[in-house]
Amino acid sequence: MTQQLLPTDPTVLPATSERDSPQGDQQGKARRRPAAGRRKRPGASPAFVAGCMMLGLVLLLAAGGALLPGYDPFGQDLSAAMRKPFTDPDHLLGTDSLGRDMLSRLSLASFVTLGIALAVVILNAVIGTGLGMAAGYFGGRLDSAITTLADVNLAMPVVLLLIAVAAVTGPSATVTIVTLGLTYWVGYARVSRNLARSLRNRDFVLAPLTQGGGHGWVIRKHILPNVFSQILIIAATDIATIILIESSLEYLGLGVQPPVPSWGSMIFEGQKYLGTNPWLAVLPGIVMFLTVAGAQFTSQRFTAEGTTGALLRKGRTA
Amino acid sequence: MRTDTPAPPFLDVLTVQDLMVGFPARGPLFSRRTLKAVNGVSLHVAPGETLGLVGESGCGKSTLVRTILGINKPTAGTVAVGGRNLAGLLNGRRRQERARMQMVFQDPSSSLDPRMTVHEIVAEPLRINGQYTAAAVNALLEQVGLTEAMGSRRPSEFSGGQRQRVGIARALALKPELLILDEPVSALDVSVQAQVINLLQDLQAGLGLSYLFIAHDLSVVRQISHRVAVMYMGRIVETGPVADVFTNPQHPYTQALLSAAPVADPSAAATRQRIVLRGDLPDAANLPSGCAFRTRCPIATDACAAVVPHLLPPVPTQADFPVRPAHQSACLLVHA
Repeated sequence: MTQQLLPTDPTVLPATSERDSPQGDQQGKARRRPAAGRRKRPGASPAFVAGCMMLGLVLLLAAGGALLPGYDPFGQDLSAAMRKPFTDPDHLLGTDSLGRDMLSRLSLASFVTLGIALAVVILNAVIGTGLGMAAGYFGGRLDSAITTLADVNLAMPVVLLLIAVAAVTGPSATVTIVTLGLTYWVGYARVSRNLARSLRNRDFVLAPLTQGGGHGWVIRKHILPNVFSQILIIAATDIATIILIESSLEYLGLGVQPPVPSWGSMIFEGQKYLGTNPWLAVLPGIVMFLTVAGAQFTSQRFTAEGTTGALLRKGRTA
Repeated sequence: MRTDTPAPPFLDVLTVQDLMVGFPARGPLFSRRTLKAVNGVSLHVAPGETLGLVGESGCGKSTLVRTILGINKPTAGTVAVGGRNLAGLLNGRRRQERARMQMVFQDPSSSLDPRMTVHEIVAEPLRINGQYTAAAVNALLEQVGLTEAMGSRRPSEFSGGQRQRVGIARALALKPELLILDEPVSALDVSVQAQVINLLQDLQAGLGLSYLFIAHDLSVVRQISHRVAVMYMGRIVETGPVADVFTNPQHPYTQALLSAAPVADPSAAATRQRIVLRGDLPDAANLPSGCAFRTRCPIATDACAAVVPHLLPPVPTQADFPVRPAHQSACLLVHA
């Protein structure tokens, strides 16, 4: 109760919206719901709902495709090649040039592409957050070293790097994951470094140090939990970017190898038949569009909610 | 004002000898200077005693505290706990000794992690040292006047005074002998200040704690302290029993400080003499020669620029106000 009625510290509450800020307290009291803990969240915007539906569709395709009757992404049937969508009850979305079922291939491609993207984002987040927190918390030479590393990383031409690595090791999903995973962490590092920097001199970070706690304890118990929500937001926005980059690499043939499909490689194969059967390239394009747009629409909710702003304000009051 | 004197000390809980703390600062062009935040401070706190440390912002109080607690490294001097010099100990042992001093922070809203419940906050020092039991945490909460049920709430649900009680409970968790209180009530309302001060005095009486009480509110210092030390630009300029320093200040800085404190009685306020200091604090990276206070001192002479005054016991010839030997000040003119 008190939490709702007192002019609360805006830094402690998860910011709901600008309208709920303390200066609006006068009219705010009447408008606020009496029950504590049920803070008003802004109503779901149409874009958010649409984004959820788009993502849901793709996830359903990726996860549920294998359960469909007639699921066979690899079986070739040249007599049934190049069917258009919705013309053959056995192949709902048609077949490709070798007569393979497009729905099955799209499903497997979604699973593969999303899996790789997720692995890359997790790798990025772990590396970036770890380095960033270390740089921001310890400062000094370690900070300059890690910042320099990040700058060097930004200057690296990733596609050329990946081509070079693939030329040595041969292209594979693992090579893609490792290369992208080691190169797109700078955003995470930058945010967690700045947050750790602003947190490290706060009294609640100092207190355990005076009570026998080491730096590891402080980072685990106080820095990481305060950085984590920000990292999730970056990850949510980043996954769309990673999917696009990954797909363009697949398009260039640097990734999972045939016959395993991915969105990028399906588009590459399909573009040879753009004149006769454009659906071969358009269908994976649509799925990719749904994923990227869906991810952007849904993640915008987190950023528009101003969680970043709340944390920055918190840092400034220190 | 406290007139009771604690039992004669066997060994001081905390002894600080000639502590110096410097930070690198940028000088003109590419030169490097050292900012001396703490410039040769010595002090000691006896068991069961409260030492009040007074000084304006920027005089080095916080740096001194952080160095005593080991967050900053001293450039010279020693910190000893219970007569044992911390610098000579191995890391594990040093941590153990340091746990005998605990800190209560100034602003309870920034010293408590907003994501943790009060129970978790008080439990943290116990967890670090592997002594956690829920019962121990509840006992600590009770000790500072909070209830077990409050433990499940977060700091944002508490008032400032209650938050500061949480901070005190956390500081008591490791059963310290000395609490370092860094302006523990200056962020609180006056009515709440009194409650927290009373709690601190009760805890001192019950547990035999020593306090190093840092404040700029002189009336609070006067109420809770046995002895006072006045700090200016990284040095202690006057120290002594609280009654002596407050009724008979020797150093011109202490005199100015006391004359600036508000007095509740208007007729007394009208008649008393105010000493107004002119100018700002000098640049800590570029201290004046000799006495650091001479640039603002109303009675400074040429000699003050030449010699750095040391803390000395009073000259015995001052007849009307007998100054006791424990009451020391660092001013050339007092000892002239």
